[in-house]
Amino acid sequence: MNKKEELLSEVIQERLNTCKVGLLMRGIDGVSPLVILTALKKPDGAFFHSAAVGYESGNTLPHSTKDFHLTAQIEDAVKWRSDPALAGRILVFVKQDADKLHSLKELDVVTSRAMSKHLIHEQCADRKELPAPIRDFWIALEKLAEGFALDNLIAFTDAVRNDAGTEIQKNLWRLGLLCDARILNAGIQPEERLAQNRDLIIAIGQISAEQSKRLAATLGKCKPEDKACYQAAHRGLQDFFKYGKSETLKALDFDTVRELLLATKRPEKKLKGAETGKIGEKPTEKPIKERELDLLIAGGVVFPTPENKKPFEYLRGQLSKGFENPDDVAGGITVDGGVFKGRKIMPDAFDSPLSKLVHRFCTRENWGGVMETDTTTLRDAVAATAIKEEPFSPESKDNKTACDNLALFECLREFDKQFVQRKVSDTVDAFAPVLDLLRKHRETLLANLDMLMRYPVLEFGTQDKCRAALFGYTEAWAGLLRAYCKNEAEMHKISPQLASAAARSLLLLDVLYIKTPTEWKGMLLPLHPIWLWRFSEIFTAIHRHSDDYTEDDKKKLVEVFDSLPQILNFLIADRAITGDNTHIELPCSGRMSMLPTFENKTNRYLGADGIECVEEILSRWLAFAPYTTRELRICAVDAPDHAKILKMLAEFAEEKNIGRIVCRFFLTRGQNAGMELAEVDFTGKEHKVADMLRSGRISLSLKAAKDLAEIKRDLRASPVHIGFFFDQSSYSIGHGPTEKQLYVNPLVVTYDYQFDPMTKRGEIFPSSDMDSGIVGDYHKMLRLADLTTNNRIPRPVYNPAADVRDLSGAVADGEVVWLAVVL
Amino acid sequence: MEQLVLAELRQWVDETYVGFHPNTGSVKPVHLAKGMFRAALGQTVGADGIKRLAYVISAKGQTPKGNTPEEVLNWLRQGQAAEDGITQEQLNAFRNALQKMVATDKALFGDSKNVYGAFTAASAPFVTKKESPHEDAGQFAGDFLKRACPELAKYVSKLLGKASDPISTAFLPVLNRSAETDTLLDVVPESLDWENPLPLDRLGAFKLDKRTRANKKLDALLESVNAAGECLETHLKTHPNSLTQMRLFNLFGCLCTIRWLGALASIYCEEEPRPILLDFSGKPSSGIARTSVLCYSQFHKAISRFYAWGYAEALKARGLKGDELRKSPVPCFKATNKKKSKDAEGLNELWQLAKDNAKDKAEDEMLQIFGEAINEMTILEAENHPVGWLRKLGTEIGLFYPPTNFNTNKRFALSDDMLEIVLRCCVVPDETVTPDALRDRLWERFRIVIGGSVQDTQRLSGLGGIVYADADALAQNFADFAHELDEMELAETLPDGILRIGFGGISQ
Repeated sequence: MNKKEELLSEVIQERLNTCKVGLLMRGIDGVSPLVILTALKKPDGAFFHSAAVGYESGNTLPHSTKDFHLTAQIEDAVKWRSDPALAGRILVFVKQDADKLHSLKELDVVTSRAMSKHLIHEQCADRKELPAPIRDFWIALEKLAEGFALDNLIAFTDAVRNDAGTEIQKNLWRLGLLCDARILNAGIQPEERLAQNRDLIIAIGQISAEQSKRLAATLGKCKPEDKACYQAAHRGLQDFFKYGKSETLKALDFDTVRELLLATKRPEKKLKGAETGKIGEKPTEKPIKERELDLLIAGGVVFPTPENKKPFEYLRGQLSKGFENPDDVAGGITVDGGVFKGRKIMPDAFDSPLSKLVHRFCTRENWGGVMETDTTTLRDAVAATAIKEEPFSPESKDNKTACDNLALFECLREFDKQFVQRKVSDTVDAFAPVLDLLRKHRETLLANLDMLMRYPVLEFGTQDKCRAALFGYTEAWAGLLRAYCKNEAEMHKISPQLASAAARSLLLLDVLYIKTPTEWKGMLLPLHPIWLWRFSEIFTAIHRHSDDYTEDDKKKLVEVFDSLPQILNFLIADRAITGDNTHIELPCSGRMSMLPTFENKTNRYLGADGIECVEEILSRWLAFAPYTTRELRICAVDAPDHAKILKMLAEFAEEKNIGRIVCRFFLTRGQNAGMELAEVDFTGKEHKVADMLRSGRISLSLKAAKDLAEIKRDLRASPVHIGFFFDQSSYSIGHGPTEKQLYVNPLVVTYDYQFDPMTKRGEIFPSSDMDSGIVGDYHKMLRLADLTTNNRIPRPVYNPAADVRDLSGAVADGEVVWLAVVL
Repeated sequence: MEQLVLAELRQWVDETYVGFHPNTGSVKPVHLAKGMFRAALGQTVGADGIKRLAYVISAKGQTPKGNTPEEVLNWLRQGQAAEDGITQEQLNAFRNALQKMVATDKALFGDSKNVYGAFTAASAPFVTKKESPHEDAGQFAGDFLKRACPELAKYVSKLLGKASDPISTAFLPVLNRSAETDTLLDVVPESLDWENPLPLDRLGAFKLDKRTRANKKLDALLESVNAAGECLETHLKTHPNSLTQMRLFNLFGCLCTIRWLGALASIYCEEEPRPILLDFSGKPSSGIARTSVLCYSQFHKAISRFYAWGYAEALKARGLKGDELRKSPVPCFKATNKKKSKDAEGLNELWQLAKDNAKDKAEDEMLQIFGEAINEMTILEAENHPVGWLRKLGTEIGLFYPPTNFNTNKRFALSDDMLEIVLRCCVVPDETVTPDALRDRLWERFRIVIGGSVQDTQRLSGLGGIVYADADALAQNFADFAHELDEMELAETLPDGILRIGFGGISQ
């Protein structure tokens, strides 16, 4: 009788006391049922009915003795099962899957795991003489039994039969583990240590080329007395993966291998506080994503150091390459040194529909345009194929910027000629030289359009040529607008019609107007002068007046660099665009990527802003109600980016170990959340989200609701812990007096506050109007183009008439426990 | 001694033993498809009409010369391919849809001069000459399948020639076909130089003496691919959709290419091919998942070992001796930029370590040590390496999990598509098989193990050595596998509890 048979007969003996119908020994090889039955101690008068299916001894069956009957037919066992007289005396051994096995489901099943547990248990049970560390070891091993094959456990227990601790330490290789001299030491948790041992072998099998190099370097540098030991371990590991034999592990020691693995890790360097951009104070291997990347870049640009120069240039090169071929950097970018410290950088998706759209409307010839689409929301319009596209080409007479059959720039050059003819050149600024400068610098900026649109801070911060072009371009634009404002009176004398048309056309440049089936929308393109002016001002300050900034100023600048306010508060789609007599004022409604968007009746949050609070509120909620880690229920109404929230929830669930999150998205404005979610890379980068959705750990529902009342009804039926309501009001355009004394700063939008003491309602007008400079001239041109009047200027106002009664009653009515209104 | 150039050594190994250059991190199944189709057809076409009609604009906003909307409309009208009533806007919308259709996998590129790359289409009129370095693996896979399962290759070639799928139909007016003979006009026979395809017989494995051990391993591989391919062919013939058939064929080709890479160490270095444990547990912390991760480690380490061996052979072929190498300068990656190295210090350390290790060793052992060093140095210096290539392709086809390149600790966890293809290679359409029969076929045809039987447990522990899962965990893995098949309607549990696996008699 071999060890396995002994073990099985012990398990059978034990289980017979409790089994009701019989026992089914399933999938156990290396045993002879005949031998086991013969050896089994039977209770007085007991006669066993047994079947052995799939065993080698099948040819010699049936076999009967005074104590048992053994057959090779499973059908016999099925018959016995129905006979109450035989209850508790049926033993069936099935080696492989067999027909009719299902009919034996009333029998208690014994598998090899039961034998493993029994084997381990008997090593320490009722043996008080065992030292505590050894007993703890066996208890830990029992807990991890499912991770070890029975044969290995038998070999291991045989080898450590004399109970000496050193035997355990030396024979762990029989379990597929590294020998571990410290497994039985005081203070060591054996369960944890065994798991570490197993993970170490897996980790060493996964070391990358970079890690392999570090390992080689360490081996080369270690002390002569250690060298042989480490090199032998290294060679042993290579053999282990080459031959896949557990015997190889006999010569390998846990601590040595762990040191080898540590040698593959990147050496940790001391951080330099403020110079690093202050993102991670502790060294981490977590990949750098989105906002952290923006902050690190801003930190590196505001606090330039020689160590950051090369890493930033390399990162810039890789990102730029990513726009050419996203696959090249799909696995992330590793930048050694500088603020990145070798952590992997996972930039946002490169291949965005927005990038393609911008490339169509922002080229050497095309300076913005009009696009017609059959989708209703701005996000969809960007992604969908346009029905019609009409680019603005200031050098062509065949588009909307042309002035009476003259290309816009040609028209301005004609004015120049007229100035000369009328001999007023001394009192006016010629357009032609400014236009030449504009085209020249635009050319440079166009070459890096993707970088400029997505990573303007990095591009302007690291590329001297590009930064020079930025300064040149904005100065040229400022010059052009100033020239127009200065020359306007003279131009008016020459041709009032063309002067006004030219003003209007200049204001169209680098703006994209989008006609949807229901309304007009707009967007500034990356080469719009007002958009770029902010960067120009800030980089001028950083590079030319850096001494004016204190450390604190610079740190603040780092924080706001990626979310600078939009200076242009409205766009006007007049008849030049719409083609009819409509005159539509579009308030600034948010931003897409870095570009400002303009539309009415929309949620103003198109970008990530506002969403960031979700994670923080969830964390606070968990601190408030830790019992909800089993199931957390939330809803989000009109979330600006459903995919982003979903990703955030998945990360949150993983980090906080939340059992299940029930998430309900409500949409009240006909948004197409399906399209947003369809863009999530479920099969790639966001596979964890997919896994959680598939396993039901995140339960997601989307519902288009007519209004807040409908949402309230839904929530009444199934309340949530937290309700996130994103900006339930909307922007509209009001009119306010022109304010000429404001100072416009690219970091701060100036607001005009008004409070009505009678109605107790306040209004806040963002205002960027001023008297001089590029912004002042831009507004002056608006007036000269008859788009605004001298004393009334369109101002976006937050719609005070929105009915939010249903929202404010949600907590009181018990539909949500916490109500988060994100404005 | 002259400074060794790593890129040249790698090229020698690839061309002598591997059959293609697995040196890019951007390979996609569509690249392999194009190469395989080219090999199956033995010809290419210009596809100028398709490129002109379908390629509207690049991601960078460039339109190739002759592809502007007006030019395309005029060209179509001249060829009477567009009726007079069709407006510019209608054509634009149609062209945009076509571009999305044939550039789905983003493997089609264009600049102001030309359009190149691989179409997401599967018929002869789309099979152009090699336009991307990623395609050579496909050419190899095609040649390999022609050798291993000629009937399947013939069938695919015939199907490609028919061009009766919806994508080809959409392009019908510009396919450049002869109206009389219904054949393509701008056909170019495939040339057989290294720049394009590599004939298998040039490879070391196919040149070896049939009685040698190595060749027996190759024969076993060819036999297993043949059995899988023939089984797949029966499915293709019964499937009504030719695009789906081509998709199945493509996935199969990719899988075979990965198998070939994994088998190189066994074919050339006398190692045993390793088992592949498929993980259906769905939990990365489970014993099954950990064991599957170990299987993946062994799989890719076998590739690295093969390359180390290959580099040693390359040194031998150059007549270099161990002692000479011990005095040689640190190799550079490319001859053209000898001074520029990504990590000169790292290379130096590796080479120095190899020199130290080689001291007092036998000649063969010395070369092997330098081969290993060259392999590690190549991985460090090159943009990409064969293991990265394997990871990218395996992830793309749904063989490895997690599906991001960021996770290096992959395991074998199949996507639904890959599971279907593996099953279609093991069970013919009208057949139902028992779990044991399926286990045997998975092992024989792919060296795949799932668990649930004594044999599978032995297969896994016999060759893989370490298994961090007991028989019960393996049996549960098989139960999870059966559940997944059940959900995909590829298996059913009969009232008596017996699992029957099959495709439900789809040929009828």
